[in-house]
Amino acid sequence: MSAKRCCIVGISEVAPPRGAHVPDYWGFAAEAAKLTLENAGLTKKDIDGVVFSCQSAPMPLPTPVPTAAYFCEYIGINPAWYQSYHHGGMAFGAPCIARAAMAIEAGLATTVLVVGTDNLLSRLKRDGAVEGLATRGTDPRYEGPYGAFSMTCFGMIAQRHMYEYGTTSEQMAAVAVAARKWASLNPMAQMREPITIKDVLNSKVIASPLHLLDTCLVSDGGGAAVVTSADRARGLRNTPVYLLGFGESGIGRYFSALRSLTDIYSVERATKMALKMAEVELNDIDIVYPYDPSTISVIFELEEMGFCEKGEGGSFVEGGRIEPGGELPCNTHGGLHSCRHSSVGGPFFQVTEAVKQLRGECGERQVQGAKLAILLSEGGWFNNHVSILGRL
Amino acid sequence: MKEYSKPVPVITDEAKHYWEGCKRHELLLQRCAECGEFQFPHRTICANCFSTRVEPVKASGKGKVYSFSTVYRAPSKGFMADMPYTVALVDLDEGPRMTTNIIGCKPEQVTIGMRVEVVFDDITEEITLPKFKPVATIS
Repeated sequence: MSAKRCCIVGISEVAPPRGAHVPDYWGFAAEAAKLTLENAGLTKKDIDGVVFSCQSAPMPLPTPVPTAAYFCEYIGINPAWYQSYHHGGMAFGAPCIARAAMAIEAGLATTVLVVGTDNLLSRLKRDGAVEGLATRGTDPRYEGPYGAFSMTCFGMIAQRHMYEYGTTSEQMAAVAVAARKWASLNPMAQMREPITIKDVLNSKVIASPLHLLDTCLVSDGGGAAVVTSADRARGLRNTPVYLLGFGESGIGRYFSALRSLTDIYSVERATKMALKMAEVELNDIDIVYPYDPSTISVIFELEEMGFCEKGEGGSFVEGGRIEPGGELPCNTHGGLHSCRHSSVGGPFFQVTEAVKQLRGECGERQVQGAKLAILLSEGGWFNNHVSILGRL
Repeated sequence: MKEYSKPVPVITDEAKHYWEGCKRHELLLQRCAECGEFQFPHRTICANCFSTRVEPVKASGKGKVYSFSTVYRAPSKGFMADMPYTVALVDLDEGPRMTTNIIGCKPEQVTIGMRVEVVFDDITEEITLPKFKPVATIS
């Protein structure tokens, strides 16, 4: 399949500021859909396919939840093709765009609406949202009863990385400092106050060795996109952003099934597949969007993607390399760390931000001349998708 | 017995032997009669060779810490009283790896590679959770 022939022609982001009214789960999704159609210069009538991120639709609905169908009815459309999608764990955003492209390539649809929103924070309140997000990937038979949750898993990955490679807390903190620097330039980001390495190390330990500022946010938010063929895109108003290539690879489901915490080979495999399909090299990439629920995530992902050798990720992220103005901009929106994380919405912001960067719409945080972005979406443990987006 | 406020393990059919063993204070793995591999968790077939001739076997109960993380901010109310508590991945001497808690020592004393042995925590009248404590060493 030539993925080059599909483009993102519309995007939207829903990111309510603190204190603002947040619609219910379905209303949120509908708002994102409406805005992305406006952005694309299209209407509901043009949509003949839907991909709906279906991780956390609230009950009561029958299970397995036919969320895409439910959403189509909610906004009053009847597309020929739709899919409720999740790739495993928390892998959303880019894999949903890829599904749309595959349907278009297969001739099942021509113009696909892709939605990824969640009003997690408002719906469940802070404690509920933290508990929901944190315990979601935990096996209820062999892990949950011991108090394991997402941050004990990332904590254990960090401990092994420190043990095997000598990675330090200061190096992990550098990732947080970088994310916050980008977020300070992003009006949509939830946390914009700059932080220092010392601030990170002084913040309370959540699950050793991770401090509060090593971990990501819990938020409301998400977005939607419209995907269509390159031919169709030519007649529309925005600079088309092409899905040039993608790849997917998974290891397993529950955390204790992983044989090694320092060999996350599914990232490497998915990256190689994506680079091959896109016919580009790693050093052609202008911006990286790692998946960052914790600071150690960015370190091991950059290693596994091949931007540096294994074990060198700690020193790689020091010294401003991934910050605004650095050699390898990462998560220019501030990531899950400082921008937002709302389960399916968090990774969707990788897509919308990458599109904005490639369209040249990022103002103060614009990476000048950006043409290629690589996005890593990651579900526990570890289901990976890598997409390469680009413009001509 | 005071009401147990933490999540109890979901007991599934293929693991009945395992949980019954825990209640008897025995740590049971499975061993394949065809290829000899040990496995955990319990399942209906051998994950190595697909044979259905998997049998419960009593483990030595000994292993070492592969990694760990100590929790200072619990994800849910039930675990707040335990803070700080340590979650670990333990590699059993027979090969399989399991998630557990390390108890019987201060969190600062837990290290990667530390030798541990199983102890049993009767969390309710019906269910027992295997946990691990450091093996006493003569210094």
